Amino acid sequence: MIVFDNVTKVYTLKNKQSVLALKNVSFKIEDKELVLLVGKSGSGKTTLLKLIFGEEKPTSGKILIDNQEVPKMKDGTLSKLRRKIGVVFQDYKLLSQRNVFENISFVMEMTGFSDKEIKEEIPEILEVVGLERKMHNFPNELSQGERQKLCIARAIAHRPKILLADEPAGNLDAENTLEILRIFKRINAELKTTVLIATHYQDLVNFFKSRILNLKDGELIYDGPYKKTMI
Amino acid sequence: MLLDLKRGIKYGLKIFKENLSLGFINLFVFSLTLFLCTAFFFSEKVGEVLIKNLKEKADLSIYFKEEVPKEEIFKIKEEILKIQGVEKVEFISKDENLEKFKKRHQKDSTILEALETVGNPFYDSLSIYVKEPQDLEAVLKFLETKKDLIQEENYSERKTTIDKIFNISKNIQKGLFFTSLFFIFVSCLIVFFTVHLTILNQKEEITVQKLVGASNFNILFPFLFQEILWALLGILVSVLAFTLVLKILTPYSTFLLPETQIFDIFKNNLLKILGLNFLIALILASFSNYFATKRYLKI
Repeated sequence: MIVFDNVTKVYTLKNKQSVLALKNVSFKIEDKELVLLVGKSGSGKTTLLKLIFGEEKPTSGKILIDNQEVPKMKDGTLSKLRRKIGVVFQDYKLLSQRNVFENISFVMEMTGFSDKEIKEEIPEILEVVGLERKMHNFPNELSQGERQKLCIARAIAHRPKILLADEPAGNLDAENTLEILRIFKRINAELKTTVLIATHYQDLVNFFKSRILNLKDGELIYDGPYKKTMI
Repeated sequence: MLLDLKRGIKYGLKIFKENLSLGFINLFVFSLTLFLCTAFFFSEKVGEVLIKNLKEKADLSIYFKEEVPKEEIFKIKEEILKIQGVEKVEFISKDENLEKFKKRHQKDSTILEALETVGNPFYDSLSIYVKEPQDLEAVLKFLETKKDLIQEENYSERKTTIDKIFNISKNIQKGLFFTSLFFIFVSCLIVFFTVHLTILNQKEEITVQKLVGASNFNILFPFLFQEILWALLGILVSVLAFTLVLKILTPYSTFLLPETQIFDIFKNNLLKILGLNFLIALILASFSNYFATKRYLKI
């Protein structure tokens, strides 16, 4: 379960100016839920995701995952938490000096998969995202869409308990987007993974017809069931 | 843990291969530092042998006048043995002294012939061995009281030379110690900066690794491992270079250590030298790595 309790995040810029990214945000996401985090660019979606996996710390408020307070976690505990979370980063964050296979195997290695399992499972995962022929390519040899697919493959490879996706369809064409969305739905339904997808595409919202968290200028203005027009 | 270690080694080898140019700077610095540390350690060992040899030579031989009876000499021997710091006192009769001399000059027929003519020119003597050269002072003081019985003693003129050698040996050790310390410090800085550069190349990778759940061990160990590889190569280079220098210097060292080959001292202490090198290299690699990576691990 993910709990945000009155969370505020203020960034202090180099010129000492303050920027409010999130303001008194509170919500709860139960295990196995699929939730869409919607809002326009700059509404605080990415910050909210970063707070969940501990890349950022809140200025005030509490963030709990499975009853453990994320900002207070020590380095080792935070690493362990991150292994339970799969993240599809908006800017991919791929390991540029490792090929497609190694980008995925790295995460699987850390989460305790054996070499045999890694060798067997990575081709299957790459087939799911349509990258089976690019296994030995490096990220700079891939198109934007392929990098996004690799990022998705890496996020789901170790079967995380929580999957966070920041604009996962940003660089995909319509056909690929649909494919990826189906994967997310399947992961949520079959593996019982909690899925939180941040997007500013109404089409995506309409596809999932799921619970929605709507952010506007850092404030949570809606937390409820699917609505046809949200963004 | 074993699996983590195995994978850490795998990635360490990868970083090692990918950063060869920076690694060679590491190798140079490691080799230089370890060479100096070896030189310091070795100088201590040579110093020990030198002091041991000097101590053996720092004995005092007193030759008694012809008319002094053996009983009197034995009495003096007993009294000297009671002086603090005296290890051993050996009586050598005039005949034994002659035999020793003949043996030393057995190839020199002129000397032997001269001896035949003059007979036995030697005296009964006492060889006095002390624990430390300065212990001889008390013995000399005692012998002052027996001046009338003594024909000659051989210590006074040798003492100055011995003192000089002691001082030189101590100063060399001091100099090497401070030079080694200085180089260890400089190496720490250079290794730190080269590791830092390697890590700067990998900064983004480290950030991503942290974000996807890598522990500090997962990130640090490959860097440490590649650093240890360079350190091991550094040990090899420094020991080989030191061996070469010793091979060149050995023929010139006989004036200092006529009875001992300095290369033998090196061979006898090789394991200790390797151990010391490994320890210093490990400490150097670990500290530099830790401080170079520290700031990137706080994500």
